[in-house]
Amino acid sequence: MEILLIYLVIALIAEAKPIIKHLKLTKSSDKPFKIFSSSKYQLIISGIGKENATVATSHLLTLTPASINDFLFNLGICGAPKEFEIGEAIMINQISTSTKDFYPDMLLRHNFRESAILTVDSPQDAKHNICVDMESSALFATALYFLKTSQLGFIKVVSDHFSSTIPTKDDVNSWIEPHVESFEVLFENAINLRKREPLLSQSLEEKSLEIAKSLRLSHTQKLQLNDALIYYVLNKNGEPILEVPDTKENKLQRNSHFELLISSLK
Amino acid sequence: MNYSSHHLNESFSHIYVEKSIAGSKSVLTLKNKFPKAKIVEIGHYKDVFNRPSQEYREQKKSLSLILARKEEPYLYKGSQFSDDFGFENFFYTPSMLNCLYDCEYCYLQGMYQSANIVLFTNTEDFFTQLKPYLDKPTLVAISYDTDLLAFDPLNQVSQWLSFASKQENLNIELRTKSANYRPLQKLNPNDRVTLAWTLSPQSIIDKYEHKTPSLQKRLNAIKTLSGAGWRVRICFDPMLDVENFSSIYEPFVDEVFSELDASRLSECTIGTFRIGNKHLKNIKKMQHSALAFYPYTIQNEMALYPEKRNSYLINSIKDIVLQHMPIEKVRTWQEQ
Repeated sequence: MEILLIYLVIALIAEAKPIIKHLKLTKSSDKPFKIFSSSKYQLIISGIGKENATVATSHLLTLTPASINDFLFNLGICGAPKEFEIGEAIMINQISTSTKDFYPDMLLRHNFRESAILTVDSPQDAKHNICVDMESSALFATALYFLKTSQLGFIKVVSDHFSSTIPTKDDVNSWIEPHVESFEVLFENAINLRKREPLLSQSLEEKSLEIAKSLRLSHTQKLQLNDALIYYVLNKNGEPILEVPDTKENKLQRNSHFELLISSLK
Repeated sequence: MNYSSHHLNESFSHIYVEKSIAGSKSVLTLKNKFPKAKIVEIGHYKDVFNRPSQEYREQKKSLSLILARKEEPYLYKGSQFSDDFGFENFFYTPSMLNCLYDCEYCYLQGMYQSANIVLFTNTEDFFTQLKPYLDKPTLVAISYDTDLLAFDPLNQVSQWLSFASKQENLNIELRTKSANYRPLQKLNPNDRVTLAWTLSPQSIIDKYEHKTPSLQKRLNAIKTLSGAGWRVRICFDPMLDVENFSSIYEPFVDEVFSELDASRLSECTIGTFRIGNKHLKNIKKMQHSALAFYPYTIQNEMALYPEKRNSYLINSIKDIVLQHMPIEKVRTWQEQ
């Protein structure tokens, strides 16, 4: 089974602290970005704004390359219209900028209210009829270099109704902390959603390499063998028993052996 | 694939709607049909449907619906992989993109980046573009990149068939695996409308045609509609080269003809699985179905079974079909 990872990108340490504490993450890096980790989680503190979100996301996903099983969440506070309560957690289904919209796939079941969000370049005290943050669009665009649209989730917690007052660390903690258990359930759901066994087991992959070496297979023949093995595994719901042939055979014998092997896997 | 539906939203939990049609009657009808769905307003359907880096197989687990206004063209020339039945004007029309069903051999998996369903709400515009062609016999396949009868929340099948009833040169083909015959029961049978049912052995349906109705339900639908006077074609197409092909497909064909009155059927088409090589390559990347990894022969950018094997598969079934139907009513895809 592949190791499953949940990547978390959070702008401020004050926003991340309740999550770091709840998930029992430990600091694994300090520069250029603070990173907190466990066997399942990689959490990076990106800093505020699009530029920081871009660089931090790219850094995190380069440092620990993602597999198809992994999932990335962006969490943090946002400004919101009055229809949303202060401290309410929101799942984002549309990320807008002045020029482009982004859409994460909404596959994961959750209990939060949903909303669109507008990503802007500076803090907003002017009223908007939509949630507003400063990172989501840049993070989405960057993450797509590494992940699929169905591997991304965006959760925001309402910090204000477009006020110019800067929240204290305690305020931020009080808004995020009540949601950490719900967040963990969501992370676990994402892990379960992405969980899958590799199609060919490691031992079958190794045997296939040995056969390729022994029969001195060309690149095309190796692809044929790989296809035939996948065909067998998907069709029979089990793995074939393979024997590595004698390396002393001549080319004609090796090719004949290869043809027999392929037809035995049909 | 190992996943639990417990972690997933239900299909159509989200409906994306183009802002320009958000207030239209069609969209309001759909909102009423899916009252729990979250509505997300979008600029253009391609902003969602054509996004880069989507996962078709993941989206197939929990489909979203995208409501849009189709822009020209509304008609496309019929594909080389389909039978034109001798019509010089042969078009297909995309009222909807993608399908509710999940057949492992379906080319749509390799054609679109998204599994989400796009539903075009401006059916009247399709009719307007079609009218100039109707000075001579024209065939339009209305259930082409989809199965329209399986998922038809705007009653587009009825709209198309009502339109066809007034156009003497318009012939309609509605290809389906659905057992949803009720919308058709409300309409008068029209000899220029062919209901083309894809039939497969139950074991093939179970293994490869996920979320589709059983063989028995499809046969019941055919019996009801052919009995009511509708023109019905049965399609043993695509047949799959599976282990024990003969012992699976031969009794199946016998079963079909023991259930159906062959004299009421307009045609029977027989064909084996074939697919554009580009689409096949895309499907292989998903590592989802054994069918994608069969050692096909590639001819003119089409992947198909090796010639000898293909002939055997088709002829062995054709021989049985010919015991029930005259040769002029039996078409094989090979003969085109």
